Amino acid sequence: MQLIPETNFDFMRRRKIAFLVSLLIIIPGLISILVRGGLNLGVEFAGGVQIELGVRGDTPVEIAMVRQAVADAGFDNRNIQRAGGSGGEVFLIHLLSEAQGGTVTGEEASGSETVAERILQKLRERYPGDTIELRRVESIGPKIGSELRGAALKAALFSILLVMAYVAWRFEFRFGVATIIAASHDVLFVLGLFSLLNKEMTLAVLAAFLTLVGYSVNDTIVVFDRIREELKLKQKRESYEAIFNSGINKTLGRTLLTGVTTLMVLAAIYLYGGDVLRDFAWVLLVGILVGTYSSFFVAAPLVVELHKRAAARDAARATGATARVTS
Amino acid sequence: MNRNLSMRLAVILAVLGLSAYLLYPTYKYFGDYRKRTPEQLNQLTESQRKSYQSTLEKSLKLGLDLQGGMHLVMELDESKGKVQNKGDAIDRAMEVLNTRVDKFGVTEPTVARQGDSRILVQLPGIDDPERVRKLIGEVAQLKFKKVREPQEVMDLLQSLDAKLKAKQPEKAAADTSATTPGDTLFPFEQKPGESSDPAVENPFTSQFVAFQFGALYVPDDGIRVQRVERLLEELKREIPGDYEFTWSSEEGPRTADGLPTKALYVLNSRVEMAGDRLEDARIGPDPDQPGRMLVNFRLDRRGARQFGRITEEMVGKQLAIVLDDVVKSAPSIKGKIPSGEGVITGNFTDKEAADLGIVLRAGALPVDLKFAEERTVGPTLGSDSLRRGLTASLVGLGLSVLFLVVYYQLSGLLAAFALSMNLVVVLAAMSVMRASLSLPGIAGMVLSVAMAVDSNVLIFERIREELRKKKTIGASIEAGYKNAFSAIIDSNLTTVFAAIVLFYYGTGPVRGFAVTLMTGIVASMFTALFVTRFVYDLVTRKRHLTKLSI
Repeated sequence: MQLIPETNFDFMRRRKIAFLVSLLIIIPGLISILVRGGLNLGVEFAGGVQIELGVRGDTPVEIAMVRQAVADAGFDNRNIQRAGGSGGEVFLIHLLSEAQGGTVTGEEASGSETVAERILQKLRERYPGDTIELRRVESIGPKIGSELRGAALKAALFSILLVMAYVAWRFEFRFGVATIIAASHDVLFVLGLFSLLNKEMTLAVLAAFLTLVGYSVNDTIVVFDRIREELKLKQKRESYEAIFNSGINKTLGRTLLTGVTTLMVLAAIYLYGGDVLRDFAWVLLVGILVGTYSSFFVAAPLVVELHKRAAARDAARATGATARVTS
Repeated sequence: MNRNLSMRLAVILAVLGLSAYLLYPTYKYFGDYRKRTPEQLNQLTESQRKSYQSTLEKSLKLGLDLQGGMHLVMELDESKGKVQNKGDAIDRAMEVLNTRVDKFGVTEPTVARQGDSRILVQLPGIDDPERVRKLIGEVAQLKFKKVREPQEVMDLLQSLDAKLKAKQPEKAAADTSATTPGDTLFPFEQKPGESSDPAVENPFTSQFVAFQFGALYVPDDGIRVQRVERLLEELKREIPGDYEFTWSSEEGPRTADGLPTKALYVLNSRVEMAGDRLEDARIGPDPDQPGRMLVNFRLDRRGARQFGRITEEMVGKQLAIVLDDVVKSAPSIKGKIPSGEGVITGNFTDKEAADLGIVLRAGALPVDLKFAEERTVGPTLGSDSLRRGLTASLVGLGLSVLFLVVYYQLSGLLAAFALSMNLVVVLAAMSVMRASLSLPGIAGMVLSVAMAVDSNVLIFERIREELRKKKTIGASIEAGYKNAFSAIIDSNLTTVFAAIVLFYYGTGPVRGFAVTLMTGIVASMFTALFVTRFVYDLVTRKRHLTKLSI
C-alpha cells in the first residue's frame, strides 16, 4: 500500500511564505511572554505549595466553596482549577510563595507547616459527608525553586550547543547553524503558543521541550542526510536549489509517515495519560508538527541561503582580485 | 543456514533469553506476590520466603508517582549559626535519619546525600505523611543504659513464656509455630513430662535463635520480627517497668540457612547518662588489635563524674548506647573510667568504628535540619497514574502496530515484532539498572517506540525506492539498509544527547524519562538494524522471492 506518490513540490520557492507564517505565530507568542512577565511557572520552579484534592461523595463540591475554604485558611485563592478525575472531582490548588507575590511563607512552602492540612480541614467542615483526600502535595522551598530554574536554563543551552557541535561535525558548519536555528524556531513557536494559552511550565513540560529539541533535530538531520547524498551525486549537474528540493521531496514520504505514527502515540498519551502528562503530550504534539514543518521550510532553505551568500562573497572577492590585478 | 546467519540468530536469541530471564522476577512479583495479603505471606515456608526476598530485590520498581509515597529533601539549617564542618554534620544527620526511617518499616527507603548540605529521603508507600514529618523533624536523643545480665534475661523469658502459655495455649501455639526444625533455640532444660515442641512450651523464647553478648537474635525474614513485636505488644503489661526490649541496628550472625538476624536487647529502663554529656568522639587505631579501630570519646565534667560512677559499678558488664530508641552498640566495660575520657573497643572494622563515632557525635551535637522540598503522592493517585500510563501506552502502541502492518504488510509485521522486542529489552535493562519506573518514564518508553518506528520506516521507504528502480530484491534490501544507516545513527544520537542532558540536570521522574528514552533508542537501533536485517537475509536466502511484501 502506498499513500504518498512521488512528489516534486518546490519547497524552496515557497520559503518566503513559510517565513511569514512562522513570524505570525512567534511574534505574538513572544509578546505574550513579555507582557505576562515570563512564563506561568509551576511549583517546582516558582516555589510554593501545590495541592491536588480528590473529592468523592454525594454532595458535589463547588469550586467557589474550595476558593472560600482556601481563603478561610488564610491563603490567596487565585490559582484554583478543576481537573478531570475518574470517579470524583479533582481540584488543583497552587499557592504561590511570598517571593512570587503569594501568601505562603518560605517556611510553610518548605513543608514544615502543614498548609494542605489546614485547607483540608476547612473543606471538611463544610462537606462532612464527602470523602476529601489529598491526592498529591508538593511543597517547594524558595531556594530549590530558583536552583531548578537555573538548572533548566543550563540544560536547554547545553543540549542546543551539543547538538550544534555534532551536526556541524557530521555535515558542514552551515548545516549546524541551520539546524539550531530550526530547532530554536520550533521551541520559540511552541513556547509562544504555550504562553498565549497560559499553560503551566512544570518539570515534565521542560522534559517535553528538551525532547522536542531532540526530535526536531532528528527530523532535520534525516532531511539533511538525504540532501547530502543528493549533493554528492548531482553537485556538478544541477543547481543547489534544485538538489535541495529533490532531497526534501524524497524524504517527504518517510517524514509524513513517521510523523503520523508518532502523533498517534502522543495523541493516545494526551487523551488517556491523565493530567500529569497532558501538557507534556501537548508540547510534543504541537512541537512535532512544527518540527516537521521547520525541517522543510526553515532548515533547508536556510542552508541554501547561507550557501548563496557565501558564493556571492566568494565571487565578489574573485572579481575584486581580478580588478586589482588588471588595474 | 550458513555460519553468519547462525551466529546472528544466536545473538538475537541470547538477547531475548537474557531479557526474559531478567524480567522473570518482575513478572512473578506483580503477577503473584503483590496480590497476596500479609497473612498469606506469613505462611510461606523458609525457602519460599528466601525466594520472595530475592524476587523483591530483582523486580522492576515503581517510582513514587506510581505507587504513592513521600519524597523529602532536608537541608542544613544555618539560621541559628553557621555550620563549621558540613560534611560531618550531614553524616550525623544521615545517621539519625537512617535510624528513624527504619522505624517506618517501608520496603525500600532511600536516604541519600544531595550536594554538600542536603539529604534526600524517599519513603515509598507511606500513608501518614504527618507522622513522618514529625519524626523526621525531632532532635536526636542519645542515651546510655545498662544491659540486663544473662540470668536476669533468662528469668524474664521464662516468666513471659508461662504468661503467654497461660493466656491462650492454642492461640500461642498457632501464632508461634511455623518455626521450622533446625531453628534451634538456645538450650532450655527439657522438663520431664512436657511436650517436645518448643513452640508450645516456650512460645515467646522459641522466636529467638540465639542469645549472645546480651542480645536475643531473630531471623530477619520480614515475618518473624513482626511476630516478636506483636508478642511484645501483647505482653506489655507482663514486662516489669524497669525492663525494656530494644532493637538494635547491629547485624547479627547468620542462621544455618543463611538468613540475616536482628538483635533485640533487654535493657534496664533507667537512663544512666544522656548523650549531651559527650563533648567529642573520634576514631583511632586499636593498639591491642592491629588492623582494627576503636572509638575515643570525651565527656564534660559532670558527665565524667557520672560516667566514673557507672563504670565502677559495671565492670565486666555491658553498657548500651541507644540513639533514638535503637541500640547502636553495647560494649563491655573493662574498668572504671574516672577521667571522662575513654575508648570503646569491640573488634570494630574501620566502618563500624566510624559509624559509632558518628552516632556519638550525633547525640552530642544534633544537627538542625529544615525541610527544603516535600512531595507526597497519595496511593489513589499512584494507582490511577499507573493505570492511565499503561492504557495510554497500549493504545498508542496498538495503533502504531496496526498502522505498520496495514501499510507495510509482512514487513510491517516484522517491524511490529522488532518493536515488541524493543520494549522487552528496555524493561529488562531497567530492572538491571534498578531504575524506578515513573509516569514520564512510561511516556519515554512509548516515545522511543515511536522513534523506533521511524527507523523502520526509513529503511522500508528506502527499500521501496530501490525496488522501484528495478533493482533485485537482495540488492534493494542491501541498498535500503546502507543508505538509511547514516540517517538513523545521526538522528538517534542527537535525541540521545538531549536525553543525556535531561538526565544530568533532571531529578526523579524526569531522570526516569531520560533513562527510558535513551535505553529505548539504543534498543531500537539494535532491533531495526540488526534484527530485521537478519530476518530479511534469512528469508531471501531460503527461497527465491519474486516479490517482497513491503
